[in-house]
Amino acid sequence: MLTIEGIEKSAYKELETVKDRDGLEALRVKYLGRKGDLTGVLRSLKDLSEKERKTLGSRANKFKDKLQEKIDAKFLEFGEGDGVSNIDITRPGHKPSRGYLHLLSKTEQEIRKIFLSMNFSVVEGPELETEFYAFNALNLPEWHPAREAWDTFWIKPKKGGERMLLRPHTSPVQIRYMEEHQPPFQIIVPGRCFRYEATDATHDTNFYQFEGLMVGRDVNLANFKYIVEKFFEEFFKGQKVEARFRPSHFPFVEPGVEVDMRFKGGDWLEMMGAGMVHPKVFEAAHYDPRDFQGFAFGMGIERLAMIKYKIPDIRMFYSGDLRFIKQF
Amino acid sequence: MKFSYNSIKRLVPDVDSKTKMVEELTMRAYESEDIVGNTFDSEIPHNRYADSASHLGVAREYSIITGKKLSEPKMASVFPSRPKGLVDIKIVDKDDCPRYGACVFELGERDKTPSWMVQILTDCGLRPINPIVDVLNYVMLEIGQPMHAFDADKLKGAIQVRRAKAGEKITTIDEQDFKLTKDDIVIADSKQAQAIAGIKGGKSAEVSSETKRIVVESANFDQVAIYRTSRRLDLVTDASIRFAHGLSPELVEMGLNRAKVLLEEIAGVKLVDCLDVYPNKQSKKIIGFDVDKFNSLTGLQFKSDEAWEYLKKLGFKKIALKSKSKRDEFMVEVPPLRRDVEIFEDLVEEIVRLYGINDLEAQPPHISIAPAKEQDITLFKDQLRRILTNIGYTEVYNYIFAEKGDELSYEFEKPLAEDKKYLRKSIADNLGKNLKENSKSFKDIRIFEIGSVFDKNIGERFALGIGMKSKPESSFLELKGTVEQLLNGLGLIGYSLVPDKNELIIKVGDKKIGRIWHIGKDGALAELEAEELMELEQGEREYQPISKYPAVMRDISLSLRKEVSVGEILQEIELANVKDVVDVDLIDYYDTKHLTFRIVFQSDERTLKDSEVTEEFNKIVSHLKKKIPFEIR
Repeated sequence: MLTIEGIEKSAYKELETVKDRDGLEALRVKYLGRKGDLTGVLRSLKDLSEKERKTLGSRANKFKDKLQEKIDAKFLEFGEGDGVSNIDITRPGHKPSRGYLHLLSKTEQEIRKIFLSMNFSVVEGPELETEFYAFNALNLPEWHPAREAWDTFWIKPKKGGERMLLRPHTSPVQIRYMEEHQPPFQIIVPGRCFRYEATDATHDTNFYQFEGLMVGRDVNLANFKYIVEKFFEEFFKGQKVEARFRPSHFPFVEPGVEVDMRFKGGDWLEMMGAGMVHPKVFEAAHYDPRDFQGFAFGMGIERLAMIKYKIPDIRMFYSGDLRFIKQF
Repeated sequence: MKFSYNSIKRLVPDVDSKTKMVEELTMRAYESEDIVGNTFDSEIPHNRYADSASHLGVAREYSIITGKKLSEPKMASVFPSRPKGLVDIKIVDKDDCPRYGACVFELGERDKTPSWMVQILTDCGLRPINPIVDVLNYVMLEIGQPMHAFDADKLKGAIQVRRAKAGEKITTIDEQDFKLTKDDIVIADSKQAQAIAGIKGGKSAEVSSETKRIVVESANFDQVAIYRTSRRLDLVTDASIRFAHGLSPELVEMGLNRAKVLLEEIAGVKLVDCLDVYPNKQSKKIIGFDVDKFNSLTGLQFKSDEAWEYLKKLGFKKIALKSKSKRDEFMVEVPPLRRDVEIFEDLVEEIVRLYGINDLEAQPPHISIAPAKEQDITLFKDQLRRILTNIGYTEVYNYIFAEKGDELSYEFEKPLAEDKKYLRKSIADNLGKNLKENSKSFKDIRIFEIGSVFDKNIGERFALGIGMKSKPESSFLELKGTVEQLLNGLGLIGYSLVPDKNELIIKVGDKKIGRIWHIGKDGALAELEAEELMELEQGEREYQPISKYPAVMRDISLSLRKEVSVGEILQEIELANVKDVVDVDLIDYYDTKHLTFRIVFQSDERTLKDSEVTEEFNKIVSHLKKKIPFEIR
């Protein structure tokens, strides 16, 4: 009589050499079929003592499962055959696991792409800033009430060191960039900004902004309108949005502009502050304001995403909640 | 700032509906918003408090925008050419107080404040108090000049505008006590401070029901000094907000001229004497206007006259220019209340906003052909994101605050909350929290974050944190594999993962660039100095020839006599220094003592003979035998 060890050995050996589906089926019948070798061994167990039956039986069954598994795998390897008709293809598909980019990154990438297509370069700057770059150089002197519009996280000062803060806007990068580059140029500056304020559905202690700056000899306000309108057109492609431009005041621009946006028929939403770069800002960056002119603007990235994807609360972006992130 | 539509109606009788008016102001002056009742809100720009933080100012703007007639309120002319000397004023430093006007009134029968005035005060959020206070408040709202009334008989000697003495005390009319410093300006008599200048009046000279004569103050103060005092004392009033933004000394006279009319009419008072001390006369501002430059900045095609029409409407005066230049230029004198207009660009704004920025036709700019670029840092962050999302990791964003810090942490002057006192030094801490919170909804969690970390030694730089939570052992190993995949993906070759107790230190050469560690039983975290990785990243890769010859595999199953780490065994296999080994893998791990390794042999030059491979394989086995006690299974 065949021993289990013997069957095991020859079954595995034959499995190695099997070449096609037919051979595999023959092998299955030979070992696992109703009149197969293994079935024979299992049948012969009834003649043994209970102790022998137990050990041998469990061993034989284990082998049976393992062989079936290997044969199944081999069938898969040989590919589609008759076997596929047994698969219920109306069962739910298996979800492949994948990673998701955060909506903020996605939106930022989209914005960068649009501006790159209009020949704007992308520049970054530090989040931990000096008082000079964040305020003074932007025509926001100390003890000016206008500063109160930028609630600021101040860092405990080092002895004798310059006052540091978390930048309340991306505008400091205007100065940093102009210190090292000569016009003409056009850039956008995406980055995280911070406001020391109570949070609600539309305000958070940090948010992403992108700054735009275009400087040359004849860059004008009508050019600014063009760029912004094109941007909205691209970003909200397929969605009917309109923008309106109205006067505003920011110490680092003159004239100052604010841009609102709405879906046809909806309410106006404030989207960005902008304007023609103030001569004092050019001076702070060591340009002669008689030589150059240009526009600057700043826009919230969450704001854009919230409108585009109808997100009700800005704080969701920083919740780390995968149920939110994996939606996009 | 809140305004009353009722008041605008008195000043521009044929004003449109409130909704329409608010819209006109928004599109051509300043953002305005309809509020319930008669109230509307206008966001007066920081530098336009002098002309616009008043009903008259808003009405003036509205009238200029729409061409509807402004009906100026009735004004007196209070300053006599020869004062009677019933009021005396001494200004110690004219920079602190460019102008101080005061009028003495004898009180008559105090009537009731009329309902139209009460209505306007209430629309703007003020409570009616008594006719005198109400009129002065009303004039502040209408003209924009804050005023204050003292009981004339409680003031001893001349009114002084001086700095407080260090430690000088004052009790204000609402019974608050303040200790002042040399930075604070006070209004005092010969005995004591009677008011914190521009902020709040004092208790001791307060007008009461027994008061017979009052001194009405209308003055102008240094805006920075008022701002500082107001902030330091944490005392913000309607007056302090206005002074801190900068008012015009011209308003001093307008305020008194208007107050006299209304005080007589409503409170039945009689003017006794007035004095105007104006040591720092506001100088006239003259600015040149160049229409070519205007057109260049705005993109409009105006003729000089067209531009001038707008300025004329705004109250600018044209000054003949004696210039031989051919340019189309002229000079304008700025209206005294328009303290915000200082340079040519301000004139540009005035014209273009009245024209309507929204009506400006968009024009494509001329852009230089130099290629647009993204910085390495931007591209590198994108690359990290791409690699990690490709292998199943999801990006999260966290706040950059930390609860705990050390001497190298940046600390906030005023933290938002006790658990947000520092700037984060590590990015992975928050990921641990994310893993825990998400485990309620997800079984397998793979996340990463790219963001700034801060440290007083190194400053600010961006870091990469990765978190993994699944089954106890696999989390750590998968994360380890992820880090390897990432580093390989970046083209980094010379890195090593060095065990240190329960964690792995990620090193490039001798430099530590990160670590991998356990969090809880089934989680693992990694943090990498991404900015350093960026420096180390290999650029383009070169093609490696693919061997034409088959690979031969040999497995070795070990049964260890004592536990030895896989790392050590792999290292020993490498140390055996055997020919043509291209890969060594742990393929089966039964328990810590039963392991199977697969060794792959392959040559670039020829097909390896079985005997050759066996010989080399045996070398490995015998080398291992010397170093590690085991039996072959």
